[in-house]
Amino acid sequence: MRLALRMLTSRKGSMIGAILAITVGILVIHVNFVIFQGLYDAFVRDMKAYRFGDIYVTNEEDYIDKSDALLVGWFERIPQVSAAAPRLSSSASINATGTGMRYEEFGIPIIGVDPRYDTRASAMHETVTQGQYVTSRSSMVLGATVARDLGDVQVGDNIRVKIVDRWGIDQFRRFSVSGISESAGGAGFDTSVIMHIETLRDIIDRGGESGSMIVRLNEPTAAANVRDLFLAAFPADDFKAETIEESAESQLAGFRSGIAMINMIGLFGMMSAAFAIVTIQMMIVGGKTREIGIMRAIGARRKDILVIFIVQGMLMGVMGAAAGTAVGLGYTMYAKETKMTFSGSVALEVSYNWPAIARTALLAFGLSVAASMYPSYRATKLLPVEAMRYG
Amino acid sequence: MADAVLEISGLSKVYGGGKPGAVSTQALRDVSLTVARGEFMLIVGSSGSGKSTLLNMIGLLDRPTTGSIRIDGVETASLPDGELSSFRSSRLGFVFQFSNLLAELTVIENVELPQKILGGSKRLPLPSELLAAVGMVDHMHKRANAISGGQAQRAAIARGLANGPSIVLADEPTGNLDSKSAAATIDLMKSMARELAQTFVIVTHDRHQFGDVDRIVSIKDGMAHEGEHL
Repeated sequence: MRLALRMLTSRKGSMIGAILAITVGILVIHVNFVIFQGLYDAFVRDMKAYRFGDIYVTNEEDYIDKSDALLVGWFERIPQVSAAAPRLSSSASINATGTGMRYEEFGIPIIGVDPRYDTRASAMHETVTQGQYVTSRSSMVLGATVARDLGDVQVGDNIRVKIVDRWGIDQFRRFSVSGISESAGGAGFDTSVIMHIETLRDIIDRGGESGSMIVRLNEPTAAANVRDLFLAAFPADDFKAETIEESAESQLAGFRSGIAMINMIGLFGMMSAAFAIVTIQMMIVGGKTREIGIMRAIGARRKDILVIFIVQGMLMGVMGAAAGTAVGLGYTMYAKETKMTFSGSVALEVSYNWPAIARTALLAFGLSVAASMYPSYRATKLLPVEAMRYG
Repeated sequence: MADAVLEISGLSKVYGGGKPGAVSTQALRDVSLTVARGEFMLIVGSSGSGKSTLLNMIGLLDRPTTGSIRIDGVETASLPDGELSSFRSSRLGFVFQFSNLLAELTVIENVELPQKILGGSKRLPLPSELLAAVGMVDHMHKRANAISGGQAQRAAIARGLANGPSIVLADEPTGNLDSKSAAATIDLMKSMARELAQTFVIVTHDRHQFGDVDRIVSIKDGMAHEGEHL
């Protein structure tokens, strides 16, 4: 061990090069994790907070016809449930007149909410950056993009909305803009409008019906249990209840592929570090031929020589993994403390994934040891007399 | 010969010639000799005569083409590689021309190394006592690359004795030293041989440096002759 360490430190430049290669490999994986897993988790966080809750309930065949009070009451009796709220969706054409110009936008998604329930069950109201959330049945919140596209509509302006009801008849209403919703990332309501659920029910003639019910839990890990409990409680209804992972699956699948691809790039970086170690170990073996011959001459067996060079690989692996993990954790801590964002995007949801951190460090260590195998084997094949003659 | 530590008979070594068309060189031809325990013996010869090849064969660093080498009564020619290493570790000590101490270790760590390789089954001299005996006790904690050539060779002698070998094999041990250091090294080896009844087999091209020795074997054109025949 001592000899292995001293042989290694006698070639400081090579040793530092190998350790740096491992450090950078690990750092790449950590940075990728912080950025891409952070984006993924932020997206999940926002999808959950704004759109799906911890559990998202719909009716497989039609609209939900059970009353809001019944369903909300049923959910809120469960200790793990924090709140529940009904939602109803449709789409609208909206026009606004400003500075002598008439602007019109088509196919704008509408979300009908009950502010009494929704402010407890979701964070949708927190996206309102100007004005107020839905304050009355004749007011609505415009997404920031919609407001801009309608000629920079401001809070207090009037807009005209056309919605097709359930019978295919155009319904026209006037609304005042109570607020503007704007949020970073793609999970908010910048391209939608929000109105009172009762207003929307009246317009599309869906009195007492909802499109979905979002449920917020105070114990998110209980989502599957609460979902199963709910489905078991209403066996005759065609309810579909999904956890956030299930309801947002289509949006998350793409993200996961991206993360897997980026992790592959990190692994390739780590493989490059392994090649660097092979090269450096070969250089060390080449430079220590005479010493290997001497040790063989005084009785060292092939396995003793093998152990020396494997231990060198282990030492490089330990030092590289420790340095890489330390630097990676430093970056993670920085990202978490500064609530890192990129060009105004959603703030990363940075977390310490200790199993993944340990796996990365172990992988680096394993690769370092594996990369030492061939040079170590080469060292054992040296004949003592040849090694001393040509070393 | 009574209590022979080394018995060589019919030893030949041919280099090359394994492949068709390759030129072969016969380095040793039918060498037979016996060395008694405690003998201080020189193998002399001119450059290329085969004396180092013979030493490598005795040191089990290279294998003979034909013939037999018995050390402490054990036939070594047929030993597998792993057992050869163990045999070297327990029965042979080496002193090389360039001392060949490991630069990464201190002087005393170099002397301890053969004992660590051998393991704990044999009663062995303390490294510090060996270094005291060769006059290196004041330098034992210095790195091997921080001492002079003469000091390094003294430390190498201590290392050669550290495993309590049956034979110490020395290949041109004074070849890289100035005349004063060379004389001191030779005196040291002789006194060690006397005090420890240690067998020394020394290859040299300069027999006159060594003065009186127990025995001289000359090698010429790969053949061994008793006495000085150069």
